[in-house]
Amino acid sequence: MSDRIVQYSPSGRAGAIKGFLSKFLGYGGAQLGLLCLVFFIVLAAVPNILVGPLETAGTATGDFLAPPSGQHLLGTDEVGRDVLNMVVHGARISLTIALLATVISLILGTTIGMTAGYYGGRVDVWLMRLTDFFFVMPSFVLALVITPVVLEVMGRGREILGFRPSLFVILVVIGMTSWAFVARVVRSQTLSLKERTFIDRARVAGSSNFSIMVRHILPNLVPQIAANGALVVAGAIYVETSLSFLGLGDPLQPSWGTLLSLAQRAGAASAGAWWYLGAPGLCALTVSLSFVLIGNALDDTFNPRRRVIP
Amino acid sequence: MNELEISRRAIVKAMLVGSAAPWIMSSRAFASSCDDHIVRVASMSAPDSMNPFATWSSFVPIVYTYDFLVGVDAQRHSDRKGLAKSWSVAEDSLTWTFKIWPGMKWSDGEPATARDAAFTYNYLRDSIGKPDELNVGWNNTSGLENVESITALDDETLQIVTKKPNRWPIDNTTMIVPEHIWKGISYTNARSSFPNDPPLVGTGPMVLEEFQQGQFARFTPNPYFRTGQPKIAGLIIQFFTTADPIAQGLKSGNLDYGAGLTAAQAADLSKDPNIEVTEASVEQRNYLAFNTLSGKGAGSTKALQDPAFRDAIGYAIDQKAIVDRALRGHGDPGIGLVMPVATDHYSDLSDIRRHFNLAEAGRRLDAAGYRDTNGDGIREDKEGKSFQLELIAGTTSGTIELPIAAVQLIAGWLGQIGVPVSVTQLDSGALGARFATPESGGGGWDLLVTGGWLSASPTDLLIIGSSKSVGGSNRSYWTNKEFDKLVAEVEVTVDVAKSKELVDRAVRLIYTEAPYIMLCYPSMVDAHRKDCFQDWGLGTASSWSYFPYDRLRPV
Repeated sequence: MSDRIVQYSPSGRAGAIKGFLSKFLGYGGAQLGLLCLVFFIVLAAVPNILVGPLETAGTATGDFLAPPSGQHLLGTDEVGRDVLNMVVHGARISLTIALLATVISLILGTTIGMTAGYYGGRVDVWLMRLTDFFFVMPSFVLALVITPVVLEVMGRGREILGFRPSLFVILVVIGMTSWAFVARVVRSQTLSLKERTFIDRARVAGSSNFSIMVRHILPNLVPQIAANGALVVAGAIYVETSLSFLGLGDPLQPSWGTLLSLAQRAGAASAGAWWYLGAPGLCALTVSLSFVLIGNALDDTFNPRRRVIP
Repeated sequence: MNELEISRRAIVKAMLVGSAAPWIMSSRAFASSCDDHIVRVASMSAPDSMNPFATWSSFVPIVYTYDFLVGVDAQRHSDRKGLAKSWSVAEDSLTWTFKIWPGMKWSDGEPATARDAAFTYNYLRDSIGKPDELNVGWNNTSGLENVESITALDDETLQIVTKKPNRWPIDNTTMIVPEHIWKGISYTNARSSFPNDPPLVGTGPMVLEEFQQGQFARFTPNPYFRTGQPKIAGLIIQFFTTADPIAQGLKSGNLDYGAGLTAAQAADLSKDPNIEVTEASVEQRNYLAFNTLSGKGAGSTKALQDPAFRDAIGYAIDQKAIVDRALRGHGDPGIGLVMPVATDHYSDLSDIRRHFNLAEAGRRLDAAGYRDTNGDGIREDKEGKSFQLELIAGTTSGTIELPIAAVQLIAGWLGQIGVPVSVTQLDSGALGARFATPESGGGGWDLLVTGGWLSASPTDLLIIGSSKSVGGSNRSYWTNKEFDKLVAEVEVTVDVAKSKELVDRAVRLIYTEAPYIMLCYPSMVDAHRKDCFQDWGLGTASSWSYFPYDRLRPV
């Protein structure tokens, strides 16, 4: 009883966070992942200060496919744009798409998983069959089929929520196709949580189902959602890169995937322009790797069963 | 225990390698050496059937086996004839007489005569109006409805009489097939199921011996070719979907010839002393089309239907920059409908040409009533709606891909004159669905950047403005009665000077109305290795026939 009171007092919460951080940062992978992530977030936050405005084919000044030099640290592309400039600007688009897609998929996955787990019965059966569909269907293939169709249906016209339509479509499609895993994990955790006494107590005290879910179950799900969320981001970056690589991205707002696609179409690989393929490829790899590292470290921190026994 | 497992694994590996090695080594398609005198060629096509009546997509490889009667190459080059040695047309412009090479033989040794040519044309013509009309492949009935008769006067003379004067008898690209093979094939089978299995029997320099869909086609020299058996021992065409393996293959010596290279690859390959990079002007033209539809399928603004708006946009397109930046010089800046390679009809339109000038474009938009009234940097159309145009871009199959940088440039210029553009890239299937007629679900876009590659005949030059081909080659849906009249007149004109004058009138008409802004005429960039074979001729392999494989010799 006294434990519980202590745990919810402000100083106790600070202590818990401190304990979590020291454990989390104890993992080498987490440190490395966070470091890379901070680096790329800085790139994404202030690209204009770091490398100037985004170069276009119209404003390009460099030579065609020039190798890295003092003037162009990462060389130039096939129309003379600075690759460093595009990679830094691409960071913003790639990271934004990946993070927003993850938010969509977490909201979807948590809502569906928690509803299914909490209500059980027929609701559970139907929601889980829906989840199974998205679970067994490889999300990349699904995204590959949905994206052109959605693009064609709503491809025309102006920006949606500040995004060009083709980027918005990719964002939504990734979010829509990667939530099944989260829903499964959240449901199983909810099943276990709803049998606990504090839920019974809340129900006896007269809380509604909605308030029990949001105020009592959801806070206890945060560790699972956070750990899985980091892994979903890694997947989202991968899917975004692949979709853009196949030419479904927006050629006017290059993400890393679009850059790879442009490089491939220009024949950069056979022309020996390693910097053009390598720079965006390495960035996509680093960012998704750091999210995986962070996700694993979070999982190890929260999950006693996966904790390394000293 | 562990060692035992490793050795067991090693044995299995050795067995696998051992079983694969003889297959790899015996497969002639992958060996690379000058000694076997086999030419290895890369192609970016995807042929399916070997039956020229049943498919459009197998031009490569079957063109190496069959001859045209005359075709495109024979009219441009004196040393690139087809089945006909010479041809002439009578005073009435209706009766054409063709002299076939004397003593020709099919690749199986049977004599090849004017009767085979007459058979091929009559076989097609007799199918007109039947349920199984032969109109689904490279050999098709189009144009034959204007033909009165096709007769072989003797073994070496073919006579074609047309109903109205037209140049179809020499412009058609029907592959002449042997009567003794095809006479028993029903139209139903010729249209679909008859596979025309290798070895193909033709009069071309190479005999198709083996075809593996999606992989390769293998040829042997035709011993009965009209100028003697070709000097090369064989030809292998490998099929690829991208240019990267082609450039790699040329570098490593696995390929002797590859076409469709990108500018970056061309620059890289030309550093290799064994490789010669060439480029040829072809009949492709890339353009920006406006959706001129009103009513169903119309674009987002009525301005697209206004010639003054389209004309003003024309001043905001710098064709020279597109060629310099996007194509890196491998092409010519776009002007009118006629590309420079069509020398009979080309004109540089110097007196009415629009010259790139963003300020002038802005002035013309102002004058036409498309001003920026609310000061947000974006112009409004006459209904007061801010411009936001949807540009779709894509490459139709069988044409040279236009680098996406061209679209970036256009979007940039239009943005600068206050007409923002969003870009959607589509693959060739989705693109076709969008520029189809509104009745079949097309339309709804604003701007379209794509290209087409047809022949240089006057009818094909004017086809993108003809009301008959709306939804097909006419992708702006633009129609004009006067233009259609000129097209109809050109169709029945044989005289080149008169046809040039008619085409010029039509070209000027469509240039001022501006449903299309021509962007560029890209060149076909290709490369061949010089260490194994010589006599490549122009360097570039013909895109209309089998040249230069009839005269190529080992070094």
